[in-house]
Amino acid sequence: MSKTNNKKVITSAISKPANADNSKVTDSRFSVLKTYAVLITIIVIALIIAINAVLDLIFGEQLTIDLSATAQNTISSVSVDYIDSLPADTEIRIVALMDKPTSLANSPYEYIVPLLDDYEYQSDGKITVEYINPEVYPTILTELDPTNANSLEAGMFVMTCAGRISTFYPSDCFTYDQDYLQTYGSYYPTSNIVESTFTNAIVSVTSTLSQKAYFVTGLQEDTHTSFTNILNSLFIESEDLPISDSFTVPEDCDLLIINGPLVDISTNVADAIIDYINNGGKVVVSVDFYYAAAESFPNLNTVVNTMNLNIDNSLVVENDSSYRLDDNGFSFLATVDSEFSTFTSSTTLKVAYSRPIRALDSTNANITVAPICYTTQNTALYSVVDEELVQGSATGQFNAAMYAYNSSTDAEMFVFGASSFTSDTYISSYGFSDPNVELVRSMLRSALDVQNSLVVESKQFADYSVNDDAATGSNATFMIIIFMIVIPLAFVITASVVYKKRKNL
Amino acid sequence: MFAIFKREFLSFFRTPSGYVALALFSFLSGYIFVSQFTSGSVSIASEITTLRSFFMILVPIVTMSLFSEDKRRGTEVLYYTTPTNLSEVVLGKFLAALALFGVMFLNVILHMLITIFSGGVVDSGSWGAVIVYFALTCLFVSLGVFASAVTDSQIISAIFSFILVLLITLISTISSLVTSAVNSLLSAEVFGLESSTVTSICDNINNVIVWFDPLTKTNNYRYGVFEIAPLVFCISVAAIFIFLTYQVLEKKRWSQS
Repeated sequence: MSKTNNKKVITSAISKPANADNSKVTDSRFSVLKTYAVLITIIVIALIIAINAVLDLIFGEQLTIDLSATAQNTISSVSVDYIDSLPADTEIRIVALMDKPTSLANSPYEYIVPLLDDYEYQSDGKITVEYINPEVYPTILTELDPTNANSLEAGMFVMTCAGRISTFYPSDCFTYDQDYLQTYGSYYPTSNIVESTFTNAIVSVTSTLSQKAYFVTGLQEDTHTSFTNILNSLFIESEDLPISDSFTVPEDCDLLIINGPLVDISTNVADAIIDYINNGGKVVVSVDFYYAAAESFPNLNTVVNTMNLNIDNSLVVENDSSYRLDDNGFSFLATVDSEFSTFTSSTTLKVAYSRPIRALDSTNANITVAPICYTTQNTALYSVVDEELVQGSATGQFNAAMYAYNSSTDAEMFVFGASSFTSDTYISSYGFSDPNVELVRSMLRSALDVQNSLVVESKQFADYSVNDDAATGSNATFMIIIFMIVIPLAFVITASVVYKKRKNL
Repeated sequence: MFAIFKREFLSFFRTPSGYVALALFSFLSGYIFVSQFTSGSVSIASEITTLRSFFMILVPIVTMSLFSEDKRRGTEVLYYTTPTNLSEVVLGKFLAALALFGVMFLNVILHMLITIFSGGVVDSGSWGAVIVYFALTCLFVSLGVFASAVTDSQIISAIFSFILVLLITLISTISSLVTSAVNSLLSAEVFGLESSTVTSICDNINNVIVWFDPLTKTNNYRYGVFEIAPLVFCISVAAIFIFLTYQVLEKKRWSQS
């Protein structure tokens, strides 16, 4: 074997085992690095998720600030105080019969979902909010309302507490522009009463309501959801009392309400109500004047007459332009009588399509009557003659609402000639903070000697309107040219110039 | 890092991609703003919220070339051979892409000024939407950066980042589908579960999945409700993807040896 060959063999004998060892070392190092990389990645991800979970679940609500206009997404101290006053073991379940809305923008839920989150957070465990779609989980309907007395259906909100139930729709959480509705036939929301609706529902399912009001129904009247909410806010329970041949006023009736009837009551109903009044009952009567229908209420008037009041079968038309709210004078501002000035924050109240309410010549010395609000001296009365609205001879000042009190029986009566105080239509238009509603609330508080009340103010929507003189057609055209043509085109041209210059680089 | 940031940011203007993204954003934001302006009511929060649906298109355009182009050209070797820290490279490129979205946002600033001068309102909800815009931009750009780092093809990178952004955007929908499927499965008689138990299980599944949805989490900002947790969530997820990008690049260092 030559010297050179020997060297090769020696070199190869030395190098072979060395390469194999290097490879093993390198493989082992890669393996360690890989394991280290995978582990560190898992640890980092787990750590970040854990930190977020803690931050969200434990401190999430504490690190939340509501800077929205009128605190749209935060419940007010009125609601918080009421919920705080409930026993610690109270379990209020709010179930939205729907999937939880995720796309809230431009939908009613943008005002409801965040507020419900806040109810849940601020309730200290007393309120739970769930979103359950009955189409996916049909059993939820019978679970909430075994007898189906409330006709539960998808889209509703259901609130339950200790077997009591309250239901409403998302549309009940807003007030609407009634002029817009009449003109265009569609609803235009004007304010948000989400908190008011939910808090009133909480009151209705949790409070021990000591007083009870009855709505006389079956008179083609409108719904009375808003009036019920007002009663709830004063902790007054309410129930419907349908007219029938055997109509009687229940023993537990603290207040009887005849709200916006379109037909007269029958004589047996009138007799029952007169009995109730003679026994010291308290009654609220609210009517208005429909030109087309021209209803008259002789039997209802016999009831009202027992308190020395009368509802005339005419339409009040205000001729003083400074008090008119429309061209005809059918809608106007009525002045609040000084005796009731503390009942409302305004000195005038909006009244529309009102009948005049007048005092009868006194037949009972124990009865005192007083106007609640009245027109100016420059007012006329119109009546329907041969299906035409004709001005009568009487002019002067007329009452749109009156009050009567019988000192011997303690009976009280409030008579409104217009529906602008108690109707759903009015209240849903102007909300629960409206002066007319304030008056009704004060009136109920006074009549039933209500000590507690829970008044949640309506919340106005943010107004994003721009000035009319700015949003003109020419300005819009100018903006289309600048924002949609000039600026994008300038970038596209620049892009093509850059591309041409650099494509050969 | 600043040198890398500067180089990457300026490179958007040395290639057509930056201008295309700017043109697209200007057109879309202009369209939304003008539509609102002509109706007489301008909500900046609404404009920004609508704009974020276009992240699916804009993010891939901006981020597709960040790392994949270097890989294709073979210049990525410079990451490993120069004294620059790899994390600085990742952060520099991420911030450059983010800055481009900041430049795009100047359009919205212009719209805000016009709204104010026209007697409109830029309220707390609008500022909330601005904050969310940048938080979500952080998150989505980090997805794009990650997508760019895993491939050397710009097209594949763009498709991958599109899919990632789409998945994040559809978390709520995915949650509904999963919950519905689980409900159907568990409602079968074979499991013998009570309906309330099934409802509870499905609710929990839904809550867990939706918890990862940054869009749902940040919804309240546009109404003027400022929450810290959703912002931390967006930035955390962005940090995870930046870290993953770093790991993907770092892997090459030791797996090539």
